[in-house]
Amino acid sequence: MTTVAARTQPRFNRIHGLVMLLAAVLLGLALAAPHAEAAGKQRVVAISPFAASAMIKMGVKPIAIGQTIGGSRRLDPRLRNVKTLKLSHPNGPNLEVMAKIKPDLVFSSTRWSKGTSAMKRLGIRVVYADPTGLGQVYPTIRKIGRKIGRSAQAGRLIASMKKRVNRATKPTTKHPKILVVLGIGTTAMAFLKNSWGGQLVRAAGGNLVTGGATNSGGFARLSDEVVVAQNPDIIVVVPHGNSDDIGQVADYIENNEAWQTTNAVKNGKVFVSVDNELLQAGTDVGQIIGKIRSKWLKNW
Amino acid sequence: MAFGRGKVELDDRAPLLEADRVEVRIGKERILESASLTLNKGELVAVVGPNGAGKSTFARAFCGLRRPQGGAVRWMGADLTELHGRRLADVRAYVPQRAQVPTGVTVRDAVNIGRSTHLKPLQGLSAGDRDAVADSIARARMEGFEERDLSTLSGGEMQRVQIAIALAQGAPVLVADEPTAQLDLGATAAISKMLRELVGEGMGVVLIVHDLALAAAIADQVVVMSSGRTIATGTPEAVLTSQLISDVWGVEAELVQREGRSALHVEWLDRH
Amino acid sequence: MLFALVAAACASLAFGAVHIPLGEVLDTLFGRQVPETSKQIIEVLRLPRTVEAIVVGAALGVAGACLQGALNNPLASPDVIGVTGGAGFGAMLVILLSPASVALLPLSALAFGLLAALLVFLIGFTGRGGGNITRIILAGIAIAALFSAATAGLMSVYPDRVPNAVFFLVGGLTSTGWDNLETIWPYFAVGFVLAAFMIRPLDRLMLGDDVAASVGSRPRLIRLTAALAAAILASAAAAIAGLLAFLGLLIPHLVRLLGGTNNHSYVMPVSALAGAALLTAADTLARTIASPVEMPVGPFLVLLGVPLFLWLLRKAV
Repeated sequence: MTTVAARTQPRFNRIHGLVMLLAAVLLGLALAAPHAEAAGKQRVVAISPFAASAMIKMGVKPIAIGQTIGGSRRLDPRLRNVKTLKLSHPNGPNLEVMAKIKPDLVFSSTRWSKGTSAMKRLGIRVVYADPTGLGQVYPTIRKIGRKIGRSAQAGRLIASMKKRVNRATKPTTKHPKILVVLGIGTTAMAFLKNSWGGQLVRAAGGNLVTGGATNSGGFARLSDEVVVAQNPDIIVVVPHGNSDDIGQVADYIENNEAWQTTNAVKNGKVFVSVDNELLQAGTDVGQIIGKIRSKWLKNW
Repeated sequence: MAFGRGKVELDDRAPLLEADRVEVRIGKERILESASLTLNKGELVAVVGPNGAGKSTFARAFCGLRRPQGGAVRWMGADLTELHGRRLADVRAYVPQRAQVPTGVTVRDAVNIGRSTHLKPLQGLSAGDRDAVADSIARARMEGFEERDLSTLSGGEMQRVQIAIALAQGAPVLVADEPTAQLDLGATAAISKMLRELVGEGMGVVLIVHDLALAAAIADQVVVMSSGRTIATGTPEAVLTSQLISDVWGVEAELVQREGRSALHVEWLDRH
Repeated sequence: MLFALVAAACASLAFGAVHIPLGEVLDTLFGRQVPETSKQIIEVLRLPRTVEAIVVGAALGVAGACLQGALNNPLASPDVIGVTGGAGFGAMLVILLSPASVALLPLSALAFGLLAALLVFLIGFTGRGGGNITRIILAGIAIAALFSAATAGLMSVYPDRVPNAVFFLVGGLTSTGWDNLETIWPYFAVGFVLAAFMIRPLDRLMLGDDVAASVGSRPRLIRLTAALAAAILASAAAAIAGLLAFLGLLIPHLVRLLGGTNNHSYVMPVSALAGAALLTAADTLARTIASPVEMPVGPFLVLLGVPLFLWLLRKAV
């Protein structure tokens, strides 16, 4: 045994030297173009659509992205051919699949936090990159940029997003009352001020109807009496998941006897939100706020 | 349920009950092979026999509680298969061996249930019905117990309530399955006297009983059953001979009757 | 009990998430001129909801009384004949699989509630020993487990839609005007009429199958009919108010303890009144306590009912 070990020793040394040399060359390259290198070395999975979209806009393609609920229309065309991971409660991506892909870094969402520790045990770094409030959008982009070594690109992306958001949120005197409800069930589950959609609607100038309800989850089952009394000018329904049945959803609300006297129903101002635009954060905040204002709030 | 059906003619001159070679099977097993019995007005027929001879099955079969697979049963000339619900309740009342004793039900409530055969669905008790209930309670010697909860009664009292329920049905025949089986001597005597009085009023009574001395003392006719068959029918003196008792029960015994008293002299232990 | 119901109904009309002066409430009911919003709230939201609470509460009370009588088992509630599991599954099918057709929810809950009950009856009342109480209850437990498993399966496939389902599962009345009652009322009507005809047969059954048979009844038929009445009432109730089977278990006991008698001519109608009163009161609380947010009524029912029940139980023993 000892003889064998002795014989392999020199070869090992040679390999070792080769590796050292390579490392030195790489280090030199890295110093010359730090951003490109950092990204090139890391294999990144973007589970949160926000991170996926931010990454591609910074010029980095993730090796896989999380499945988007409610269609892929908001997905950047450059991400269309990227491997899509199925997500399911409570872990998010299938952990065996993750073990096989073995990325270095995963941009996840607190929604899938159950799977985080398992992924960490697989040796994967997990970073939450899915803002739940408007105030977190730019910091999150900065964070993503930092993690993939594209801080400069992150800065440019933020600047362009800010421009769009500013355009969409120009001061307005029109503040119609707008009720946003999640899904359609037996009673209205209303978006509150701290929900993602609620923040977008308010940013667009809408006066969100909540009856004064607050809670940490961002949604509350509002009494129909309050809806009738507050009399929203506009009602927006956010269906869960697939939105093939938009017509049916709008029909249901318009025929709901309880809300017949609201201005929204009387004037046919019942809209159905699509593509998860009021539920899932994306880098297209400015466009969505603009849409809320131009399509839904336009006549006020 | 007492929903009305086509009326079946009852014949007053026919025997109250004629059961002819009744047969009951469970699956392939015949638990009653051939049992027959005739009951006339003002007559008490006692059905005796060892445990498992099929006495209760026979009674349940001719009362319409379980469907016989063979033979014929006629109540006042009408075939049992033609009698349903209310009509059946009008010809016979059945007193089960062991009653279910619910809580929260008074004696009067229970006897009202017996009288309910005279009412249409959703109809309440009339003054006449209330009188009939009071009369049934009196005949069963339960006056003063009307408001007592069934769960507070003794075994003998509960048995009398059962008979009162049956009487409230107003049927001419009372079939009682071992009404005295769980009772002490005094309660047994009280029930026996009551049954005899009912017979005196013109009713027909079928009594399932295992006490041969009791049967001999109160029955007009005795039907002896063994292994699913009725093997002898007649007056107690004619039927309950030492030979028959030995054949059927395998016990040496002699029935002694004197001045309305009866006793069974049993050879409990072998003399040898 | 009638007084309690009237009081609960008045409270239900008078209180809500939006304060409306008592005068306006009365003016609306008597058809006098009132502001349109108040009129809308009273006529379209509160009045139908109060009526729903009364009907559903009465239905569950009667269903419980019917089942406890039919199965001669104090633990019987619409759970035991599979209605709860079935209706829950029917509702989940709509809420989770096809949320856009939520208008079909009451019918789906009703249909599956009845389907589950029919399966239970089919197994429980046929074959050797059919109609035997233990057999019916075991069949009920099996079928209920089957539907609960299917419901749980659906919920794990569509977790993001579960929040909308919770309201149904724990039981909650909604303010959807008269629509629901307009579709479901025939079932309530049939159920109540059947139950009324079962009052005397169930009394007979109390004394045992043999006594019932002696007075000319068919015990198996009584059981089946009474259980059917209960299934119809409980399914119809679930269609409108979700899963509140607990009410069906509690109310008849409450009524028996209050009255000290088991006669169905007392238990049945008083259970209807008591169920209606309790549900109306609980729903009024659920609507107002966290206003403007609406709570499901199920927990409040338990909150109101259980202490009352325990107090009576202590008094009785």
